[in-house]
Amino acid sequence: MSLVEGRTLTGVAKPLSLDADVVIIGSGASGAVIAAELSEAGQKVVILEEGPHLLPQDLARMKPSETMRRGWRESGISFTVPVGDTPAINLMVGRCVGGSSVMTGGVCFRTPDHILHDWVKELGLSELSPEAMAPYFEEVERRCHIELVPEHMRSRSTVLYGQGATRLGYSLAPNHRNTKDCDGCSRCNFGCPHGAKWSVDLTYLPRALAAGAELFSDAMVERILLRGDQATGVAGRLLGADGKPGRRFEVQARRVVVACGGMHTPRLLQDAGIAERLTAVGEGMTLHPSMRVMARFDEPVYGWRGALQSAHSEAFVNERITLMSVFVPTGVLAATLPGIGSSHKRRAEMAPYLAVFGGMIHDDPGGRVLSRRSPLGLLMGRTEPVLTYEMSRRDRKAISRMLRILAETFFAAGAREVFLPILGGPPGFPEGGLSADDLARVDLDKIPSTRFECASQHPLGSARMGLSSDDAVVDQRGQVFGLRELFVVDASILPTSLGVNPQVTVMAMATRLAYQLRERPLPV
Amino acid sequence: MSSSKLVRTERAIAVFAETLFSTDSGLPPRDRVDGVVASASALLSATTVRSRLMFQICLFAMLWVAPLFIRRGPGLARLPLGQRVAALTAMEHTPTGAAMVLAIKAVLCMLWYEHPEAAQEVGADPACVPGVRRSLPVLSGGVS
Repeated sequence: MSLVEGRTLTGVAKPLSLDADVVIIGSGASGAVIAAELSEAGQKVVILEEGPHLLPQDLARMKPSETMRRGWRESGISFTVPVGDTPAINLMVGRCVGGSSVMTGGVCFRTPDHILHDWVKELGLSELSPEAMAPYFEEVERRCHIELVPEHMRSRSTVLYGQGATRLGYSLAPNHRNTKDCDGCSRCNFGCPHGAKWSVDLTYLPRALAAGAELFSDAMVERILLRGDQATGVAGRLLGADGKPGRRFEVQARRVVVACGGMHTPRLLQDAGIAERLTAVGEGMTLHPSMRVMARFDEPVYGWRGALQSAHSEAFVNERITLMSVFVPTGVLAATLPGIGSSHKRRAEMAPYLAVFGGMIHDDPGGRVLSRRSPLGLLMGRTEPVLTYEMSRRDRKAISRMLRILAETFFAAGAREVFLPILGGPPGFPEGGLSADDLARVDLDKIPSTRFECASQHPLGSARMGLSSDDAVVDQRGQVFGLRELFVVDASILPTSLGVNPQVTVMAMATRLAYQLRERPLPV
Repeated sequence: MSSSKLVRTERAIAVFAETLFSTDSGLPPRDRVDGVVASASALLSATTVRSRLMFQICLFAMLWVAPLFIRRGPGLARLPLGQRVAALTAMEHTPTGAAMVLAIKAVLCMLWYEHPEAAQEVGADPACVPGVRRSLPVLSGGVS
């Protein structure tokens, strides 16, 4: 068993040279699954993770901002470049051993059956039917201790929202999460300080290492090595304690598995020159744009007491909206309320009285990861990729609808005023707060999208799976079209957005691909 | 980031933080402002040049443009506190200004309310008591 912190190896000039049967780029939800399954099948596996290794006890000691700095990509302050009438979307993804699985709220959904049916019927992906995928979901659910959030763990914020929903004729359902003995301290997005969230650093990666895999943290892969049409390894740099690239490394491998997520997988493929043949690389990304509405009640809510994400509603799935309970740290609550100086303080003092509920859009593919060689990529994307996103008209309409549902539900629950995520406040309401009558007068469709505050934790589909290299990057086995021994297994292969949190889908897809890979003979 | 740029950025963050977190009784405690400035610098140092640049553009634009909203010459730091508050408030009421203000405010508020006293002052009492008590296997480091 071996976990090596790359930062401890940087003081040497000589490049680090390794060899393996399989090298896996990324240790998140998909890479960890592949690593465990292939190591246990007897293959020699090397896992390379760009981020640091953060133990639960480290996460417990850190303030949230320190976790953001050390465990989130770009400290959590990167944005998409909006194209047309589109909001700039704040992207938050993990960058540490275990990847985003360490930083999620732990919400677990199987891929909705209607999505899988669409993939089979409309895209011809016959191996992805609900029946065919069921054993992989079961395997992931067993390994990750997926359980229902009990009602007593719901925050008062979620309970109030649920009461409003009932009054309006719809209901909330409890979330499934990968937790055990959760205290409901609402800190999931900054890594569980109790080790109660069964992220892959606590489940699959220990299995992989126990079976002989080697995991290197602080190891940034810069390129995939190709010989003719065959992948033969990867090369990159180890990152020092200051985060700066230092000692070079090279891993020679008989098979290369790319699992670095929807933003960076296409970047690696583009840098390898693959995008010149496969035009779908980096195209058609979806993000599940998400927003939240805050509501002020007369009674104290203390919305941070309870599970961060305990319940959801699928009542509006036909309108491509999934509603999801959520809470945000006091500082973020305070920041999104208007006010400077003493007016800021007065608003911040409302924090205990605020309830929050959110939702996400099952979006159309409007995202694009720009190649380093494109003009904007050249200008802005030398280190981190540049993502552009153009929101479709129907997605924009869905946002107006979602915000209205959220706000009206809070009013049905007895809220005094609601705060919509609109920069500068809704037209005519610079102070932000809206009464029920005010809300009825605001035409959300007429507000420019650039004024919406919007976030995403789910970059998907930027190297999608399909039947042909004309419109896809990988086949149903995860193999990159036209290249031998190069596989992609992460969220970037999902053919469309899901409308639900993608962690279990990603892990089940990776399990399926891992089972196929372990049966597939390695090249000599 | 070069040291002179860092100093300028830190000064600008301090001006914004002093204004944002001021109260009816005046400027906020100096040590808390210093703490926020140090934490913000650390946060920015973990980002790429692109994100840092975006942050700095918003920050410096605010410092220079905000006074124009109350018909004062550029340079927020030169104004008395009351006028600084008025200038940023006016800027926050415009859609473009609000985007800039929020970009900075989000980072600084996150850091400010991590201070237990600041959180307590607005009634927040995060229930989380960190401590690892679970028995899942934990990865351990070391070269085999």
